[in-house]
Amino acid sequence: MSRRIGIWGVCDTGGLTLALQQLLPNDQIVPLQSFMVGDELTAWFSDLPKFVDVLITPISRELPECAAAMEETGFQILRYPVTVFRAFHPDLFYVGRKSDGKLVEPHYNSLICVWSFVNEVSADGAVSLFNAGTFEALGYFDQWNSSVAALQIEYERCGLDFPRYYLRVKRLGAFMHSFNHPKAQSLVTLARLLACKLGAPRSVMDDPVEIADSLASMNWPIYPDIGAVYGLRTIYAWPAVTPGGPSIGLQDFVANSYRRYTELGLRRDDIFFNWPNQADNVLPARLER
Amino acid sequence: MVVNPYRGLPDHQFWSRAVAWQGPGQIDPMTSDHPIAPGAKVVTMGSCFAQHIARSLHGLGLTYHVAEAPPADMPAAEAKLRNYGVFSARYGNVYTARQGRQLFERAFGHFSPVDDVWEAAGGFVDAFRPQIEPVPMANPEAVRAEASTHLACVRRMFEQADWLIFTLGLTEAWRSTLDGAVYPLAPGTAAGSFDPSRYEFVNFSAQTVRHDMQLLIDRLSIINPNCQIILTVSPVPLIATYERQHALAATVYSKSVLRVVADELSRIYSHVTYFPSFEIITSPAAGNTYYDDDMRSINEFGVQHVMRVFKRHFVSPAPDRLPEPTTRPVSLTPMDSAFRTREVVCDEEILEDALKSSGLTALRITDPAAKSAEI
Repeated sequence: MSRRIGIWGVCDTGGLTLALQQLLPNDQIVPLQSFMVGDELTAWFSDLPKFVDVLITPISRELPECAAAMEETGFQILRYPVTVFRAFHPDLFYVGRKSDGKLVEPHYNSLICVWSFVNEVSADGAVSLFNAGTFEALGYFDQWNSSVAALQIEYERCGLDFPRYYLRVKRLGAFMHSFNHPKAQSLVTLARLLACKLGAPRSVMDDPVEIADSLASMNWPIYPDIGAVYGLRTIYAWPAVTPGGPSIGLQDFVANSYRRYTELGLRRDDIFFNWPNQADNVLPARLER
Repeated sequence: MVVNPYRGLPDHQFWSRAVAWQGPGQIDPMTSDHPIAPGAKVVTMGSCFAQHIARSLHGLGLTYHVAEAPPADMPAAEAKLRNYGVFSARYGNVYTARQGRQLFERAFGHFSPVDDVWEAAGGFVDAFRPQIEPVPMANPEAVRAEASTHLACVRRMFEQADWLIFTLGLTEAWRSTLDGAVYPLAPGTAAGSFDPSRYEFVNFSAQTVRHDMQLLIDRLSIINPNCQIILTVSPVPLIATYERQHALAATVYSKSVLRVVADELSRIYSHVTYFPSFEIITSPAAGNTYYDDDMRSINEFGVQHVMRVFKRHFVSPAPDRLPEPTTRPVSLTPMDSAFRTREVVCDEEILEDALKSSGLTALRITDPAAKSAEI
């Protein structure tokens, strides 16, 4: 019997929907969205069983309290991990401002670039910090194992077969557009595991699936010295400033970032990063070289 | 009680943990450390892959010892053209174990090959290093005089080296029927002329390669008892085989013999260490990403991986290395509330854009008809 399977994900919703529709052709896969909170969210959520038979949603999402009771009455909720993998993009950070508690936009920032700006390093000085010595001192070459371990924890929390996922996506090479945006075939691999959980035969692990790569615009470059560690030939190429425009190189990226930080009035004592880092310990010494 | 002898063995002894699980570029098949002391003289010889290693040594802070330096008055450009500094002495590529043994024997006067000078376009060249000079010499005497100077340098190199890195490349060679001398190139290719009565093809067996290597190691130990030896096998496939078989099969034979001998020697001699260049480049974990399009030349990423592993086990660790930062996000404080929803969750515009890029529209479940609606 055909099921209606709703996906209430994050920006992976589209990719997962398309992939699961190909893997589970007898079911109907529908993308869901809700930005409601509080009672509105609870009401929306409580209504879900009227529209879908199964809900697929990230494990990091806090569901309304009613979710547990709904599961007890037979509503199937399948949890999956949002893919976060920092090894390819260890310099990519979110920056927050203490004064207003908001994130600096656009959200993707280079730690080296932000640190240089708030410490009054010239733009040329910031550019000069993008080298293998700095990356090594910042630990950028050593994040593979911890990235794998962190993702494994999430997969295991969801009861998904992490080795099957990891060993497959690893063979894709650079399987992430950025630390939290997987490439299409990474999402397809996750969808294969979800399909297995939903009763599909194991053959879905190898069935050919092609989907549009809807997250390609969220690309952050794998710095060449970091790519080399993983056998990847990469260049400094940030997404275009204007839609459809050419990607930009390191110098233009730093110049653009500096302009933006100047407009925002970014100050050293007013910022915080979303991940621990060694910038204050490492970068002053690297500048002196 | 059932006893499993593999229980408790270290991770590196299990394929799943040591190979399959490892990240790209992270395979490290070496399981012991042999730090090379600062200032120790490191010399290299071997096949063309040895040049990659030689070039990288200085960058690792090691002393790449060159026993055959250019004359003080020779311009740098000329020295480069004449291959000074490319090899620890200007012997060119030493592809086979027999060549290595022969080089030692010639340097110390144990062997004087009969057929040592070949004619080339415009003059004469050293048959044992036919491409070392950019221009052939005027006469055989000049070639022999130069060879004599060169062999004195080779002698010094063997006497002075603290570490010898020998990259084993081939088992196939061309040999003189007159006295058994082997040549790095077939006569008639870069120089000389092929005469089946004077030259024969040989593909050395494992037993012969081991014997040649043992002679070299034993003799080196006598004149320089403190010299440590690192053996490695070039991952560069044969460019051609003279055996009547497929080039791939011939390559696997050659590399297998060399790999077996290197392993046996490292078990026999405490001062001989095997370094797994071959495994790093050719492992399934690398796919073929370390080869150029010709599936033969090793690219920079492959060389970098090899040298990372070399550094880890033969060079003291860098003192300023910081511990790997955790990849877990910092613990969130009320001030960091922005990250509660933004850490991995995209903002609404991005969510919408991603769905649109997929050609999808989210189901509006407030619509009672949605349950049966076509998506």
